[in-house]
Amino acid sequence: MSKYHLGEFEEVVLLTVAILHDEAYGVGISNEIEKRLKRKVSIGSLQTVLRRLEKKGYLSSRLGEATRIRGGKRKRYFTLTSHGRKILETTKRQRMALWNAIPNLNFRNGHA
Amino acid sequence: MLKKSDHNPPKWVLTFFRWFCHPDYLEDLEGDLRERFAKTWDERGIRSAKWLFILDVLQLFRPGLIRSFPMTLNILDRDMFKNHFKIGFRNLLKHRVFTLINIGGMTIGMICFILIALYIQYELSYDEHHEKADRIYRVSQIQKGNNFRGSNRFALAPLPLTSVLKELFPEVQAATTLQVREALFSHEKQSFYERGLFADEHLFEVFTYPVKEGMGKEALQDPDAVILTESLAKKYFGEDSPIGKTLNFENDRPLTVKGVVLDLPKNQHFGFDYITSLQNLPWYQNDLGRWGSNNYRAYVVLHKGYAYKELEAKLGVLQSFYQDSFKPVFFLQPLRDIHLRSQINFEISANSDIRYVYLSAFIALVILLLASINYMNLASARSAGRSKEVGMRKVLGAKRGQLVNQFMAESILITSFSLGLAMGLVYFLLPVFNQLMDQHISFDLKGNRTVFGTMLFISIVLAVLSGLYPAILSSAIMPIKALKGGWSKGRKDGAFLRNLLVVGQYTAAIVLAIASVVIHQQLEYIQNKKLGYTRDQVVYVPYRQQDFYERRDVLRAELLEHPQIKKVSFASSLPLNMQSQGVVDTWEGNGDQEKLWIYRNYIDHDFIDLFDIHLVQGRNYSPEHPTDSTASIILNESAIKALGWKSAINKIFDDKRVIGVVKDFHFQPFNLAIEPLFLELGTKRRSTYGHILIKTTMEEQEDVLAYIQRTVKTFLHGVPVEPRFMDESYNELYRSEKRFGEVFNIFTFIALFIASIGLFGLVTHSILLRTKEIGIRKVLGASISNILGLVSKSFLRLVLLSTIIAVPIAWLGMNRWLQDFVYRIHLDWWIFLSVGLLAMIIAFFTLSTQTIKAANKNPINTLRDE
Repeated sequence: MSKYHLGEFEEVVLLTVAILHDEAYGVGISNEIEKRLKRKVSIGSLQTVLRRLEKKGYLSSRLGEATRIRGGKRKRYFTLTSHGRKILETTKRQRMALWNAIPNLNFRNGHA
Repeated sequence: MLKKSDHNPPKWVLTFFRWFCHPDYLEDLEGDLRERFAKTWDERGIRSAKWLFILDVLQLFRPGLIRSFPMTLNILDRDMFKNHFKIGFRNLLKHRVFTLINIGGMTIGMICFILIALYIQYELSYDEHHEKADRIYRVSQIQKGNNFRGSNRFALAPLPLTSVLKELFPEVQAATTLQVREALFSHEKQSFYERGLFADEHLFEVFTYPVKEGMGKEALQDPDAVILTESLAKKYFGEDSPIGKTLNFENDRPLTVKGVVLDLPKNQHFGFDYITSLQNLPWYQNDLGRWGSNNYRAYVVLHKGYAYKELEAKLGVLQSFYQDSFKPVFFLQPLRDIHLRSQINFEISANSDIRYVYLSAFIALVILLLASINYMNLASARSAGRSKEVGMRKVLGAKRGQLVNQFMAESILITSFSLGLAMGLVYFLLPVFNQLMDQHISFDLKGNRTVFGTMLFISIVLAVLSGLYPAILSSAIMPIKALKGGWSKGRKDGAFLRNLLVVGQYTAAIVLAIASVVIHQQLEYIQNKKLGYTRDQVVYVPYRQQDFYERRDVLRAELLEHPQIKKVSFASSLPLNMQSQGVVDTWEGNGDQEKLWIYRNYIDHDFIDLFDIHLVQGRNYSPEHPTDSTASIILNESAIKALGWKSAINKIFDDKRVIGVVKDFHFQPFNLAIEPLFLELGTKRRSTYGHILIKTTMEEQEDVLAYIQRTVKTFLHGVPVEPRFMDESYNELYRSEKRFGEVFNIFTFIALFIASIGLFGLVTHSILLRTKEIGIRKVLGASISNILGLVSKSFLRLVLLSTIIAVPIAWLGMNRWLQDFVYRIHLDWWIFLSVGLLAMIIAFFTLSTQTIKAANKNPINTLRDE
């Protein structure tokens, strides 16, 4: 078990990077999150999380191609490392364990 | 269509971003930013794109992403940060006098700045709340050859103008004709003069007046309808809904209230209490289709994107509507400029002047500058006394950046404390200020965020600047020298800069002081200047009544029954501010060649006697000459001069015989020259409105006034009667100048005060450093006056220098100001001399309090401490 626990936003970012596979760069990630979760992401908070996850070793990055619209600046593509994949799986397992532990899973009284 | 690559984000933001961003991340982050920018531009336009870009960049300014600043002020080092503030606070407490001087000076400076900035913002906000404010223009006219009160521009328009404008020029979106006029309103036996806006049915297409209840636009179609402002509705009807109720207009017509509009903000170039149809103006029917009917105001709205100058150039075609030789040239005035930049004839109400705005901005900056100079001066001077502390810190390994931080922390403490104090005091002082300036500014953090934002920004800059200078100065010193305390006797301790700042401060204060003396003198001169007539003890009542002429002799007789009423007269205008002017082209020796613009006043037999106006030739009107009322005329000296006559008596002017010439008297405000004037006996037609003038002995003022009120009331039906004193009304004319003078005095005083406490601080400090020197001098036999001379010499020299610099500046400035007055004082040398002397005396007293205290100390005590 890892000592480090993923925050909610960190988890979202890691998952999105995984979804985008080889196409995950800053603007792409924020667009994807906005599209899927209908949630606004500020560039500042996204980038800090990306750098933090990279520092922790969950992500690796490489510089890609430059386009005119980017003023000739290259993109930085992020990919999930095996370490990152592992922590995502751990997180998921933990969540499922918690879900399974709820007695008589009953949605009728919940917010169906 | 723009190419994608042309989407360039604002450069300065990008520069800022490049500066703070971590170099490893710079490239891809900048790419991301640009990409987002281009996308929002396409989707939401350039404005939102720019805003979002700035927001994005600001959000990237966070610990994980910014580069490390090697020589940083280490703001993030929390312990040191806390320590700096703690030490800073202790230091401020330890030197209470300095702290008090610093905070006091700074707070006063900030208060002045905020108040003046609020005033300026208010002045600039006039008429901004109309939705189309930026496209509304007033159509005014130039009447060539008609120099009325020094200008040939008139804020008036004829009745047919706006409909023709709409017809001829497609760029005119809407146009309205209106006039503002006081008219009598009565309701249940109460009657008041209320200010009405008489407008055609297009009013609401041009101006924005939010309707609270009932009708707006539709009500103007109906001449029997009236729209009240909220407060007027309350005045007559209380809390009940006024809709459908009636008010009696001019005592002869009931008007039905059809709507209520919200109360207007005070910052408009004209205000009113109610709106009613233009047709309710008595001369409306007569003016229909008449291009000579300059009784109205015309406002137009242009369609978006049209330059008003282009329309103005085309207005020449309007001249074809004029039949006779008189053809005015029309021009447009942007609505937002009227309050500050329009000083033409017949403005709806007196406008302000952009020069007052500039002047106040200048004063605000000077005072703030004085306060900041003070602060920097004191801080740098005091840093010399802290050499030991700095030395010790250095020995213990403090880096330069940390020392800078230390000073900065103190500086921030003082500025933020002052700012808080200033804001609080402004809140309480604003009502006083409003009264002083006759303004209606409100304290509104959100609405005035520009002002408060600027203040905050200036405070930060001030804190940094005034912290930085002493910080750099003292941190550059060698620790060993500093510890030995030898530094303070060094030559390069910023004394030159400090002296320079003191000179700057005193120069500014002396300029202001000279200005306020000159302004005061000019105002005194105006108040006491011989006018050519006596206005003392004259009471007047304005009237407007159809059958006044027939009954005036009865009224006169009745008024004269009171033992203290000496004379009664009736005249169309008061000699305070005559406005009525006409053209005459028939006089002896003219042959219809020339025209004379001449002011006119219709008087009676007693007018000239009542005002003690001096007759230089001929005689006054007299009941013994019955032909006087139709065939005689009296001129003033200026008229005779303009006509080129040597002797005027019995010559013919305007088909009448000249029977007398009066000495020139001031019948207009002082900044205007005396111009040609004739005085003619009032006829029945000329007497439907005018003034009742009453000369009294004023022994029992209350009693006389009550008698006048009672008597006149029986003669004027259903109108309020309020007798007023001539000299009060005269002073009223100069109210804005007077107010200007008063405000100027206050700010001058503040400037002098700030300069003085600055000097006080410096002297205190300089004595502190020289305590030992003074002690030794005393031991060697120096007297107190020796020491006083020693210390004051260097400072007084600075004040003298300031005077020398200030005099020419003040002379130039005040000369310019006085040019606006036709009758003005001379700038005497003694004004400059006495203000300079006064500055020296104030400086000397400031100096001597501290110096004498130091010189009186027993030298044993000062020398012993080591």
